[in-house]
Amino acid sequence: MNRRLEEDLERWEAGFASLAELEERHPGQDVHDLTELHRQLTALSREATPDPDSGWQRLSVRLPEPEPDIILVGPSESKRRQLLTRRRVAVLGLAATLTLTGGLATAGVLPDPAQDAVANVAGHLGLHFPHSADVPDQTSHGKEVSNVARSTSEEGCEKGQAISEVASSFAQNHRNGDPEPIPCDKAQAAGGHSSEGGPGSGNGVGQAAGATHASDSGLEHRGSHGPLG
Amino acid sequence: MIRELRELIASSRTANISAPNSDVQAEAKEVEEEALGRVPQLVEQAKRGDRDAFAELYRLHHARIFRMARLHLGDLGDGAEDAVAETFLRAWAALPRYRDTGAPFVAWLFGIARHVVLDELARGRRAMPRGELPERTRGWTVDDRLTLAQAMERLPAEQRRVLELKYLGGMKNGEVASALGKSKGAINAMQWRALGSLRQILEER
Repeated sequence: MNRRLEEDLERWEAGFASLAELEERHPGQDVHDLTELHRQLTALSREATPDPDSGWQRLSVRLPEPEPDIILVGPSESKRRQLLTRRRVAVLGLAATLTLTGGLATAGVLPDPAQDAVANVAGHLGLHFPHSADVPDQTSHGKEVSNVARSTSEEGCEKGQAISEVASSFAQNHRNGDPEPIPCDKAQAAGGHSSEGGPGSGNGVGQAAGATHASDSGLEHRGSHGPLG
Repeated sequence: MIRELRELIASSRTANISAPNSDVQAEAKEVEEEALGRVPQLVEQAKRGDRDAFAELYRLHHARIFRMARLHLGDLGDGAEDAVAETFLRAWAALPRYRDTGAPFVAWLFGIARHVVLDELARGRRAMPRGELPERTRGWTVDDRLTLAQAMERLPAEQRRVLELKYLGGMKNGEVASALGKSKGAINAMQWRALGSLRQILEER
């Protein structure tokens, strides 16, 4: 059966062409048999059937009551499983994000707005995370130390002390207890006696002070390294 | 039987066959379409356990399912009516899982009915064509239907479904296209190809 015949048969079925027209256009084809079969099948679909009400009377008594757990108003079982899986993934993702954010917030390395937001939220939950104002800016601190090193007019120990003071000011803020002794003061004191007395006068104070200083330095050195030093 | 069918076809050669659409048929179709327009709403109500809505669905689709069952099982006893009842019992149980894909509800019912018919056939409940044919009457006899059903079973599945949905389900080609996920043009072509194949099968017998 070719396409043109199929189209003409469609036209015939829709009432836009007569059978004679079709037979004329398609000689040698089984147009008549096809249309007759169509007609018979159409008649089959219009045959009388029993009264549906009597069938329903018999059927209705056999219909089971709908079970509440079977009648699903919401999504189907497979859809519910999909939703559950998606929720699990979302919860795991949220937990991972919170853990990571919490860690970064504890370290105080989040950007200021994020740090403040996390600190605020955590504060409501009874957790303490530092606000951005509580976290010193370490990059500007390094620059500050560098500026002092370049610009100070001090020389020698004083210069070192000045740099050291600025450098350790960051730690000092967090350090408890008494401030450490200022080495230049000792050296100055020792140097003052020494210069006053002259290197060769040697009243022993300078040496003693020098020894003390050296000893302090040594202790400091050992102390700072502890058992490993 | 086949001879009878051939004779029936041959006798109509001389008749002046007009196009099948007439005003009366169009009017009846209109009423039917109006009733079928309520089907989606009735299905939703029946899914929630509304037995009245399901009863309405039964009344609207009974004839189509009955014709399908009768074609395959014959008129003996209550075979076709039992198959209809079984189809709707299974439909009632499966309704909560029914999803409206845009295809006519009757296509879903036909899927169930086909399983029911196959189960019945497996149990040997089919009425076999009789050796002696009764006197020819207008319309289809039991044997005609059974012969047609056997011939339809030999068609490719898709062609068979097109004929079942169109001629037994009373669906328009557009609805058949929606039910089978094809274009209307494809269904138009498939319908006539299926009729051509069916005619050949009937002639070979």
